[in-house]
Amino acid sequence: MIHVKHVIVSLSAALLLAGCANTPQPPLYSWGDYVKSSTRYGMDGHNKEVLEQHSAELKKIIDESEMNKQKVAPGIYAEYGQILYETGKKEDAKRYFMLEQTTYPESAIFMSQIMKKLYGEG
Amino acid sequence: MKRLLSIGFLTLTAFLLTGCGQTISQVSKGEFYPKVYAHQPKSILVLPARNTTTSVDATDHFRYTITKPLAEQGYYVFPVHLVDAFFKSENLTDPEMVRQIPVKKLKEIFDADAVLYVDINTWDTGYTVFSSNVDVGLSFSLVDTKTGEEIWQNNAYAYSYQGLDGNNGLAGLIVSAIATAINTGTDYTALAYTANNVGSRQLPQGVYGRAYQKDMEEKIAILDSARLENGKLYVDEYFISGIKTEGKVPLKVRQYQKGYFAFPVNNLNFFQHNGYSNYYVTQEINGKKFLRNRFFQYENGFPYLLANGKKVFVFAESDGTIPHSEENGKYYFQIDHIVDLKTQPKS
Repeated sequence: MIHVKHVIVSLSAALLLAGCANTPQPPLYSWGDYVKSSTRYGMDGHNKEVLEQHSAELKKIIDESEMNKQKVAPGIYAEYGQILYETGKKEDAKRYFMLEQTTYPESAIFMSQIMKKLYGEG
Repeated sequence: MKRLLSIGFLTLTAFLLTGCGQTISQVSKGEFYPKVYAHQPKSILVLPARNTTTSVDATDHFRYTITKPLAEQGYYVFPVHLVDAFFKSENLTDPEMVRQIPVKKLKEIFDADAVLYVDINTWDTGYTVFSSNVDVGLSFSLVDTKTGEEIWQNNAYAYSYQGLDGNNGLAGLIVSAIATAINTGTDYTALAYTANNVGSRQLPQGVYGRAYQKDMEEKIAILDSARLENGKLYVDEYFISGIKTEGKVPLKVRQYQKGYFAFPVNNLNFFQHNGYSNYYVTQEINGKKFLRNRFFQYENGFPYLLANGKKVFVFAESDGTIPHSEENGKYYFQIDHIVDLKTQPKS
């Protein structure tokens, strides 16, 4: 029985931590249905319907963030650019790759590599 | 979650009233995760997850669902699908090959400050007529790309419980049983997200987080799973061997409530270890293999437990196993060295 008690107390301690140490903060970014949509795209991105749904979800997230004057979450511009490129909208895609780069300087080197690969420039 | 919380509080209160003398170590995040503050990575590249369990079909869910939790902790997370496309264009299609790339090389390509390795090392399923559960255990390891040092590690445990909702009473039972017969499916995306979320939340916040650097002083209280006495580190027997019950999971302590739940492991023994058939997991980080006991914390690669407000590092064999001794039915570990924490223990 003592074990069970230990167990439960540990659990409550963990919950206390989760519950009190950090009062819940609003999220930093808008994500819409990103988690599900991105996973589906990752597992089944060749499916045209899945690709279109994810593309629409990303656009929605971008629009929503901009409307709320929120920074767009890391990677969203780049991922949207990637889908635009895949669907033949190469020049639009470039704009979003560059948006990722300017919004998040951390991505600068990687985005230049990508653009070099896709457009043959730096 | 709310219900879970109130039950937790009640149980804790009840337990405190019984007056058992178990100690809690209070530790600041700065003391608990010193290397994250020392290196302050801004960007994280998540590598393909490695799955050492029998479930092969769930692996990718873990990779795709970690972006949001890490970004919400304030880090720049490299866009996973674009990263994958990049590796593919370099003919690196095998996830294992990607994990073998030295972190220095990854720094060159991505300019990532840190690389995250995720290991899926527990996968258990349980079924009854009325319910199904899936349990998953994860290990996270964050490596600084400049030095190759591991700057953070953590374990997380999550489970899904589907089917009969124990809180619905008898009427609910019948309704649920019918519903269960139709569908007891677990949504792997939800399960993976839940596990990743709880794991990531332990990480001190990154540059875009509201509490960036401020959370250094934030206190974490962790119930000691070990006692420091006469130069030895004592633990209960179940810490060594678990409760050796026969048969599959379901675990002893869980809410019979539908949904997805997760816990950081942090030496908590609330599962009586039923969920883990082995305590040791092999992690391969930056091309090197490590055997680790998931109930210990690791700093500079050395295992410790918190006890009486101290980090008590224990002796480990060169292969990573942590030997224990038994004396008069009491179990203990050999102490390697002790680091006192500034934050005072609370009993």
